[in-house]
Amino acid sequence: MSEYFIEIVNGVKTFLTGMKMTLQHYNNKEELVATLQYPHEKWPIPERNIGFENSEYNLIRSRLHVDIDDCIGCLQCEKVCPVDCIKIDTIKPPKGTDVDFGITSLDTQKKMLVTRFTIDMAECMYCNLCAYPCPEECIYMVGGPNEHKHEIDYEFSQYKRDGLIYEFADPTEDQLAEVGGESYVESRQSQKQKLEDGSNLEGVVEEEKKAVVVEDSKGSVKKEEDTGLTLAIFNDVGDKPARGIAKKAFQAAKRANMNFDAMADYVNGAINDSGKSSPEMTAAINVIRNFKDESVTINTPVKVSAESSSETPEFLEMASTNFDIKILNGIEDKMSRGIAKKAFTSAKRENLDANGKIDFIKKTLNEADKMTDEIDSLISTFAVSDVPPAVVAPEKEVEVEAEAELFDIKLLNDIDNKMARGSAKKVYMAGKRGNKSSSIVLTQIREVLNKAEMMNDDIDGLLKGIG
Amino acid sequence: MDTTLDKSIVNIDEMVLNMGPQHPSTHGVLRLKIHTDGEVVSKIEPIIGYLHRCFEKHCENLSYEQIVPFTDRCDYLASMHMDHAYSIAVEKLLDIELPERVEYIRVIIAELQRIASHLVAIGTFGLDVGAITPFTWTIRDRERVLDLFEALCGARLLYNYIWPGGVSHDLSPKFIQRTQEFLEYFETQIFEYNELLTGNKIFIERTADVGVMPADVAVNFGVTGPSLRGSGVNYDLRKTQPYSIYDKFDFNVPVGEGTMGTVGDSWDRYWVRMVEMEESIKIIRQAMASLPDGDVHAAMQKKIRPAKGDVYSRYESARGDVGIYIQSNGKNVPLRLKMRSPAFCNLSVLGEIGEGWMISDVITILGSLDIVLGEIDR
Repeated sequence: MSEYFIEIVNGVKTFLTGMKMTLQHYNNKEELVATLQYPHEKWPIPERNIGFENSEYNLIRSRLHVDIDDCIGCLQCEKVCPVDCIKIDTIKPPKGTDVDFGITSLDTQKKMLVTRFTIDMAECMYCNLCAYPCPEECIYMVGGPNEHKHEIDYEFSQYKRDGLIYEFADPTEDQLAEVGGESYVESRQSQKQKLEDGSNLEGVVEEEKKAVVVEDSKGSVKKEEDTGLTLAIFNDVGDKPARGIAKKAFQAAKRANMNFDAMADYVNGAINDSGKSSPEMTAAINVIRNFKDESVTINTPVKVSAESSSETPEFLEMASTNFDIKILNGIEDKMSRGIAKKAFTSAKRENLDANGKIDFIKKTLNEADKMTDEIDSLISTFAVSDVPPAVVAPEKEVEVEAEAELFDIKLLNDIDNKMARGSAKKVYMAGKRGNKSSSIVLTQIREVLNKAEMMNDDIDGLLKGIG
Repeated sequence: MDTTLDKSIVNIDEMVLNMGPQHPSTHGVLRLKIHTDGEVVSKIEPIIGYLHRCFEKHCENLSYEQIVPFTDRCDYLASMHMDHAYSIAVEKLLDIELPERVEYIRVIIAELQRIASHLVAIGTFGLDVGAITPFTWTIRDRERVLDLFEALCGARLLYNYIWPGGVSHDLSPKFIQRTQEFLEYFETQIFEYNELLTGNKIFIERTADVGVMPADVAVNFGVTGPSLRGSGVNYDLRKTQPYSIYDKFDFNVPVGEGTMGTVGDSWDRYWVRMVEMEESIKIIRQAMASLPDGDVHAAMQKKIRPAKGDVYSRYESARGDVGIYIQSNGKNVPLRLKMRSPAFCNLSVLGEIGEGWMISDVITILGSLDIVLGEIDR
């Protein structure tokens, strides 16, 4: 029993000893606390005159630097680097030519031109091995004993990794030509071009897509999906604003599932409206017009008639961005936002139109006593902008009806011929995507099968049965 | 319906718990697969290899000078020791005699590094059992050692200072003076650690009698260094097989005596490190008192190209017995380089001594073994 209490006393005693030590440190903050407020104060670098006599050795391992005028291109540092972060290219003048490269600060005659001296500091591991063998003492870590040569880079941070690649040699073209390095000039130029293209990430991509489009416009290759036609067709157009308008119109037309003639008309209309037409643009539009695509060429008459007028796509676009749940994110109060969202989803489940939804949300909010002027105005503005869809409504309904009318794909399973069944189903799916009615899809199937000479009496009877 | 589980098919008593690889208490990227029965650990499987960098294969493509920066990166808490171990092996292969000054400098640096490494071991061990303040204090004092090294060779962690045949820079009188100042300061600090951690009742309760490693188990598993000495085995290469000039110095080899519990418990392993730092101070003092003059680059060869043959050399690092085996075919790159990693062997004993303890005790035992994953995976 007494042992038990002795242990407790011991525990408390040693605990208090520890606390006492900590308290001493707390009272002696100036002396004993080692925290350094880093960005404001910096850790001192060891002073240069630390007492070493052989100051030719570097004591601070910071960034590598090269005095390129002193470099004789002996490649010693490149060879000794364990991680290969130094890359050096040199050009020797051809025999017989007399070129003077000057002398280094240690009075050595230079015999070649250093065309490239790259150090990747992201790869460097600061072992300092490159500094020792240099006969001209021209590669060194900055700062410390080399402070008279180069100021220290305390933290040479960069936003991009390639900022850590240091190029030291930059010979002029005259210098290169003097030593017969014309081919080097060319390769340097092409490399520069490649780098630029890479950073812009345009050149290569454009080329590929253009090639595809050219193939298509010849009409020899038929693509089944309408993704064959891309925005790349407008890339030839030099005028930037015009290109933008054309691309926008093209996208809108595509979203509205237009056929290519209508698409071309629509784009053309948009361009003419802005008064930005040019021969290149006409060519691009012609590409659209001549584009052949089996699955989309036949379109519902209703649609074509609706879309041929230039206003329709706009309002279709608007309909696609109708009253969205994201709009409710504008409500600041968390509680009412939640209630409104809940109401929105339940209204959506009941297939209410935008105005119905708004009414429902308003009603729910009123019931919860959370209605404010702010929310009211937020939702109501949408109701106002949603009024034009009154015109849309019938159009939409027609689509919905058409969809409802479409027969079940399983009925096509009765087709015996595998190939015929496959093509029929393909047409069916395309029709379903285009919200077409049963009769249109059936005619399309017939056409396709007739074309492929796969039509027989069985299928004919089957299709008639579905119709 | 019978709802009882057939225990012969499904073992519902055992749960496998994955600790790591991203776990603060595993001192690196180590994954412990722990089979637990309740909170009691029934089996531990250390899974390593997350930090593997092909050190040995890589060395076959590097010249002897270029390998030094990579040995630095093996045991990154005691880089000087690895450089020293490697350099001794290469010198043995080259069969060269070093200037006395180089040997003295190396001993001073190696013992300073031992202090720095043990400071991390002690601090993180305290951290593992819940004492946070000692960690900040030991790291603060280790920083002073790193400052000394920075002034010495320009780097704080990966030095590339000890080269085959010499050292990269000479010591200066100012360095000696600053080291002396540090040692005086550090002696008072050891007293503080003892007050704060060693005698603390909670610390003792957490570590004494926990993870007892009997001497025979330690020897059978090849455990070396302070972990072995904690089990009461008086085995230190600096005494039993003196390399460099360690035979010239007077120092003791502390062994675990079971002061707070059983011989070979976690507290003993901790205490051995604590006393070893004091012994290191003794060695540094002696070495600095009799530091001879000389050229540190005298024995350095411009190009290291050893004759055909092989060599194995051993070195007592902060974690134990580092063995370097080099096979040379007469070229400037080694044909084969093999490193015996002390922490690798020390970790292997964890499965043996960690069984039957609770999960929190496994952390204690792992902390007391003081492993460095950079060296284990290499």
